[in-house]
Amino acid sequence: MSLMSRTWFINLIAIILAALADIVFVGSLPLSLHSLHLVVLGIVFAALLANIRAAAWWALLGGLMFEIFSFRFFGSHLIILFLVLGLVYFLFERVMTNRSVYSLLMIAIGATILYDGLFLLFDYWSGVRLLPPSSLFKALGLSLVVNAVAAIFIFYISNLATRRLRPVFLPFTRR
Amino acid sequence: MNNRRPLATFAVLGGIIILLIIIGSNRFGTLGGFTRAVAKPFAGFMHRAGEMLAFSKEQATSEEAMVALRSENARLAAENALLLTLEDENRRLRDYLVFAEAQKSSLQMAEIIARGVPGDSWQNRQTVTLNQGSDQGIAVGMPIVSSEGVLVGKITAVKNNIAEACLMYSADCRIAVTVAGRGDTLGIARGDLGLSVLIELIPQTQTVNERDVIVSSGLEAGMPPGLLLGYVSRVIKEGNELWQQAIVEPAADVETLRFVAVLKQ
Repeated sequence: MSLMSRTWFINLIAIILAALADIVFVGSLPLSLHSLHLVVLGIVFAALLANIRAAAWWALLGGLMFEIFSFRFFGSHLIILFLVLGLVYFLFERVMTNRSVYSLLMIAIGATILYDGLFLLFDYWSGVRLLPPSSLFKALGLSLVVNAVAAIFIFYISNLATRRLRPVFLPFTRR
Repeated sequence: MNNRRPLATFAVLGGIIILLIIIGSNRFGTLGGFTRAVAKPFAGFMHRAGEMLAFSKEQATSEEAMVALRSENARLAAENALLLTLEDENRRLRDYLVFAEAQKSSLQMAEIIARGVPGDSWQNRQTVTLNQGSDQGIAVGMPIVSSEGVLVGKITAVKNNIAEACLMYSADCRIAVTVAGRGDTLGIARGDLGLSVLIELIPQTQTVNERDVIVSSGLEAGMPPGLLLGYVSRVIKEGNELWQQAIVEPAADVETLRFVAVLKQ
């Protein structure tokens, strides 16, 4: 197996496992860990460590796995992950200037807000009875914290394996 | 970011997604069914791992006795509810000399392989995904019960080999209920903020008391009467309101459920 096809195969398995874990494992976790979005984080990190094409594979295959197991109307996950991909690309290319942990944090938070917000809108339009605004804001806050902490954790783990990331925003200079 | 022709990537991805949506979910029946069949054992394993994380070992040991007692209590209450319903049925039979053929339900055991809906960080939907679907005869509206025969929810959507069920704590899960032994429909039970169950639309003329046993009334298609739901813990009665409400304490603990039975008519 060539290096390229091996990388492609590992990516494929990672996407399927992350999507499956997102569907069946994350939902039963205690505290607010059920709001962890593994596929969204996968898109962010694929864009950060590889390129937008790798992130697009995460959006497409991850979205397809969700569609196969989900009972929402067909296409909702694919559309939302496509929009998240668009936001991640825009933030990486037009707003952020480097690959520091701060940039990653901002992008992970932005992607989480878009992902959660769009699903809330979908639920509202499809007539789901929503919780009171106070509970919704609390849930969004916890979701942001959980995904931001997970992003930082993965960032530092990735940092051990690659030199593409910079753990600090401003380099320390000696006067 | 090393991006080669990003616009082309977005255009191709957008095109594929639009094509998939136009083709529609029905065309993915075979592929989806195959993928689910392959993934289900992993899904069950992953879900159990998540459940194990959710309940620590210490909690499990101290809660063991409580769960056993709760289970026994629920079983007895279900039996009592059934007896009260049978008594009512007998009375009606004697009164009106109408013969009603006993409802024959067959059970389909199913394992919970996922909780909640992907993307629902808000937990607006209190649902579970079961590892059995329409291929096993499961259809929308069928009730799901715990091992003690306590009503915990109903089927809301099915695919060929998986099904989605709403739990009684869900605001979107609505079931016509009555007080055990009464027969006529009392009101509609639904989840209240994911914490308790609320019976709405109870006429002011109806008498509801605390500790009354609440069972399904059988008004809906596919829902047999007499399935225990819980006990009335509080009655909310305002003088100037058309309806009264009752808060129900469910008899089953849905958080610890791993297997459920689907009642097929």
